[in-house]
Amino acid sequence: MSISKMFGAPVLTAIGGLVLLAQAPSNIPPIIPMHTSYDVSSLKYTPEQQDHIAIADLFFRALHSGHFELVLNLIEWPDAINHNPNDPKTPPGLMALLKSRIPEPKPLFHEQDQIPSLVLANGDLVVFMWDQQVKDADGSMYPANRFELMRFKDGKIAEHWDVANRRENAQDWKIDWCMKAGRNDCPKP
Amino acid sequence: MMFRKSAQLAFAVALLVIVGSFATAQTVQEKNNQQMVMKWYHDVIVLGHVSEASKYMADDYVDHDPRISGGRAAFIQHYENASTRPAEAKEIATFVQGDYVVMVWQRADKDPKTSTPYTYTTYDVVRIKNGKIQEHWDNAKRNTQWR
Repeated sequence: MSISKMFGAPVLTAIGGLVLLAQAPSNIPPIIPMHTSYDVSSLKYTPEQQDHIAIADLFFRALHSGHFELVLNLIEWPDAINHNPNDPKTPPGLMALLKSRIPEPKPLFHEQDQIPSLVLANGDLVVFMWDQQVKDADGSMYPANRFELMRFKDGKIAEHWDVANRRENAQDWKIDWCMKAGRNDCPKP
Repeated sequence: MMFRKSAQLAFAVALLVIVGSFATAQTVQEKNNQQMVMKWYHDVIVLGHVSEASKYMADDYVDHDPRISGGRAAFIQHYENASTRPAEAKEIATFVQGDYVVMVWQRADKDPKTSTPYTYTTYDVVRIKNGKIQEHWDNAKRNTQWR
């Protein structure tokens, strides 16, 4: 039984909102972010979908701030499917990769949190879009967008798709993060 | 300070209640938006029928794809070239909400070193205004080549 069914999603979401606000600085962005031209009144989410959005929002905050135990707790192991062709597929492997990126956690609600520019739900799926600046070959920066798609099951992330091609240097990259994570089972060069 | 927090809390709860009070059924307008956008994507972008662009896209259309970064004319110039057009892709999901349509695609490629086949994901988002496509975003970078 999902946590939504046990407690009622509106109650759960409101409690979640209380907890998040209690922990947050006064300038925390809203849980449900919106594009500058996005009309809130057009949102039509069920209580369960509101839960999915809140969980996804928490997941990205934890991911970007280095709270990786929380990240792993929000994923439905061992059945979760990650379609990223580069990411490790097991909890220890994923933890090692993430820790190599952010060794020390930052506050969960960091002032520089990136607010998504668009969040939509459809059935058990949630999609996030962010505006971002990307470095060009000449070193100049230009605007682009980043996306994540997730499917939820029983309040946890059951499937994930992001924008990732298989890297030209996939093997070197795997060895690099594995060594940085201090593991002794890294692939051989 | 207390008042500010209380006001924020009241706003958050009110927002959640408002959001939760709507039904989930897709409106006729949203269905029309979805059909129009899917046809635009297939006919104009994939097949390259750019002469039909004005049928789907507003005069003051804005494209945020960094390879285009411009209006309808820049879009047409980009997709006139067959090498910039994406291949047909498998649809993973479509989101239709208000004025927005989000399309998620699964594409196939081969590992550059081992030639092992694998799949990856791409995204397109459009905003509709007055029955035409007003804005478009995707996950492209300046050097992106869909396959």
